[in-house]
Amino acid sequence: MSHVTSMVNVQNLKVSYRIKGRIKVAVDNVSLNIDKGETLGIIGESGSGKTTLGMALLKLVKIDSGKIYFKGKDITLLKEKDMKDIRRLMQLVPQDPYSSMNPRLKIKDIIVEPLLAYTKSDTLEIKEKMERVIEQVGLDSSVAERYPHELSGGQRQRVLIARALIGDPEFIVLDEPTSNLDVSIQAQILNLLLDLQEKRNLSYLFITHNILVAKYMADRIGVMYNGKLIELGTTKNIINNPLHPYTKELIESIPLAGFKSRLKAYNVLDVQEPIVLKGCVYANRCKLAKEICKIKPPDIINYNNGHKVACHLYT
Amino acid sequence: MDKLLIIDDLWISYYKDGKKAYAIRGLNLEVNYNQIVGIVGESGSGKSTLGHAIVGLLPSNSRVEKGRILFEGTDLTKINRRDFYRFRGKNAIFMIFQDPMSSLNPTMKIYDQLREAVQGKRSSNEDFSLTRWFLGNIRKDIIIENKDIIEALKKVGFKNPKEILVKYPHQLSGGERQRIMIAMAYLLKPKLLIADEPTTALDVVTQAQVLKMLLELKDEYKTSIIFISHDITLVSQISDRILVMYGGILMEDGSSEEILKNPLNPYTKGLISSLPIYFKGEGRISPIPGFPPNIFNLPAGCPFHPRCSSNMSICKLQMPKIKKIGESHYVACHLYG
Amino acid sequence: MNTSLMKILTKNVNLLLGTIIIMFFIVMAIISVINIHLLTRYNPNQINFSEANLPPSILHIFGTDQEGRDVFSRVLAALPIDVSIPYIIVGASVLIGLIVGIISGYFGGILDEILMRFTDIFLAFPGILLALAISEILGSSHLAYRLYFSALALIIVNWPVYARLVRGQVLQIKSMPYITLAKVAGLGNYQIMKRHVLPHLIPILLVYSTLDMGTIILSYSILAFFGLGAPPPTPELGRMVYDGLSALPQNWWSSVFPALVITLMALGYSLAGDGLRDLLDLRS
Repeated sequence: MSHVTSMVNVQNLKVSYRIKGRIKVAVDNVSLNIDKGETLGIIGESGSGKTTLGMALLKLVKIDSGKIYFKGKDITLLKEKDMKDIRRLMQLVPQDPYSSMNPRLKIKDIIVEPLLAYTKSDTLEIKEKMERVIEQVGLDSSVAERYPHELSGGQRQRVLIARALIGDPEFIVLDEPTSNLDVSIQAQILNLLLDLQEKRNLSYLFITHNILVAKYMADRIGVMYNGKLIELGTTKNIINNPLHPYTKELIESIPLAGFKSRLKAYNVLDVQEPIVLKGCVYANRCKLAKEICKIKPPDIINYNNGHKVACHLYT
Repeated sequence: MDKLLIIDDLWISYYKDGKKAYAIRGLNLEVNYNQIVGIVGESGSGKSTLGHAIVGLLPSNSRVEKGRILFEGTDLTKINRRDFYRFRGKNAIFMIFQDPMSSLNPTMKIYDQLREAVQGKRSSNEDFSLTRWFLGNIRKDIIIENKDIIEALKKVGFKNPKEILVKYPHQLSGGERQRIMIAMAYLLKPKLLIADEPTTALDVVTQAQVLKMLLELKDEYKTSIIFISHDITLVSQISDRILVMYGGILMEDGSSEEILKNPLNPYTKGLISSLPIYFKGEGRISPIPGFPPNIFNLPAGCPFHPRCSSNMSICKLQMPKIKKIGESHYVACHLYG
Repeated sequence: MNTSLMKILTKNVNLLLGTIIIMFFIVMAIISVINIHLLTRYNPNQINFSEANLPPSILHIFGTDQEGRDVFSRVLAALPIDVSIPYIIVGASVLIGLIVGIISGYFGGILDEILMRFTDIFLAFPGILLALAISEILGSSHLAYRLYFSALALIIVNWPVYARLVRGQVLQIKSMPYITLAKVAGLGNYQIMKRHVLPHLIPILLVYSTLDMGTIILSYSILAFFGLGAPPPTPELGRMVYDGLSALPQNWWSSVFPALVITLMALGYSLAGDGLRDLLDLRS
């Protein structure tokens, strides 16, 4: 898809970092795009690189190679001082509502922070924007004068969403926004996010390990495993017709109808062995691995009408 | 028929900053031999407190005010903290937690910990470990062989157990550590295993693995399991019975099928309708409005009434009593009597 | 007085006691500078051998030293220096340490490495000995300025501690998600430091520097003891202790009273620092 019509377009993105002397590739040659008003869900285990991908799109981590286009503009090499105007349009709702807020600041200060880079703090306009956005996320106006520790998990998450919205962004990265919340509160937050998307025509990158949440929130889903994007397609295709063996394993592990009988057929899997450097990242775990899988990593191919997969079963 | 565990009118209080609150109020439950019971609840439900109470691990600012916990006839609430070790470990009660790291001694090799868990033998490293405290004093009557340890590790999926034995806990992943805890359970063969959110920190594939292992534990050694979780669908997949808790009281108790197909309590219904089951754009889920309760600030009467769409005037005044509806379906709600 | 301030002081005994002691000495030092004769009739430097070695009495509260000078007057005359120098030393150490620590911690990289190795060198030495050496080297030829060189020596030895402290805190804060969020919000480094880093540092620095005052008072007195303070005949508590040594054991008051005053001042800051720590820890 041409990068002119997309909100976000990523090409061959690679992000790695040093840990304990070795180099770990967190995002390995990932290409994807997000259209205006759409939600791209990213699912994967912890360590799959999904959080790093989100961080990279927001230019919060150093990029090794590849390109990032935002609204058609190449922002890959932009320096921080030139990013200021773009930052207003791309925001983040982080995972942990507890440590994502400075405990010494009042809620109102936390919410208006994105505006401070552009205007001085005490204007009437800012105050009005804050009150409006507090209402939009379903909070009572009294929270503005409170401190983070006085709020519940669900309320804090709403504050973070309010904060992300106040500058009228067009693209939001949501990194596991409901993972620490009770089920009933999660449902409230998910519906709120859907409402906001409809009203403001927002584009979301929705990172989660919960496949059912991804199903409910995303138009398309990308599956990551060990830094690689191994499958990408519409939500319906990914859930109902998964191609990659890992995706199939994920779908089968969801505790839904038929799970119990599937469990009976399960074999307790061997604990994962260290990754072989050559070949497919999933080869060690894959029941359908062939010889070639251990030698050459598969390229991502377009299997069928936008449903992409990186697996030697389909090449 | 003899029951493995009977909880009779249990009230557990909790102190914080000089204030008192009840984490559990008037709970009644029964667990049979060779049965898996799931306990579902959100924050403030008391489900975790329940697990800790059964195994005698309540924090110092919490205690049993009223009621009994009968394990094979013995009231655990009356047992001295020091003597409790007789009821933990081999052939008795074992518990696995959400974070296995806190149960494993970071300075001891896996082999030593597994050995110690079963034999209670003082290893060369005299440091404290939660497992050792948990299991109490030395049990000289138990003999364990190395081959049993290797077998247990194989059962939980370690292809090369000998490699794992010499490792330290921090060298293993979260999923691997949880498998070690289950290996410990295989070695101890407890009559009752309490699993407190054992898969919450794990990815969905490892979660399925852990569930499979728990089922095998039950099938092979007839271990009864109390599976505590916030995820009702997960619980329903391996439990025979489900108990739904809210604000410290039992809201509903029934078989897995009954609870899912025919939920009676409005909270249970709300919980099920909060599950994201639709594809995007094909439907909206109906969340329960409001916030989960703070046990220090519980409303009078039914703790759920502020959020309940079927709220009646009596709900604000009186706590509902458990009533039997149908074969093995119990509910606490004023809508039913 | 501000009512919430009163509430804070009354709840915290340490803070209250410490503040009283500190205030007491500051007031005494101020009076001593304005007009010492409001508190004593004697001239602190007046030598009078006929009045030498008189024990403490109503006329001479702290007695007289070997040269007949009234010890109490000398103590009073010494206060302005001994009260104010520690503030200069700690103040400068905090300032330098704060700047270095923030630069090092926030920007990291090679600058951080260099600065930290630099502080390592200073931290490796026992502070007092190094201060002694530096002061001796710098000030040996300029007797009149010895006390400033001693102060400088103590600053040199002391700032690395603050640099380390600040850097540690900055590193901790830097890794907090709310800093990442501030960057996403488009805030620049300066704004982030002003809004998030500095407010966090100030309570910690306040507690630490207050406690440090006690240590510095003792350190400076030691330097003065060895003659590295103000040149005679300007009275100075540390030097007075030294001067009175030769008169022991009969004339104990010439050494003991100055030493007690040093100790009491240090104690005041110690108590206040502890009190502040309790106060601030409880709140956050």
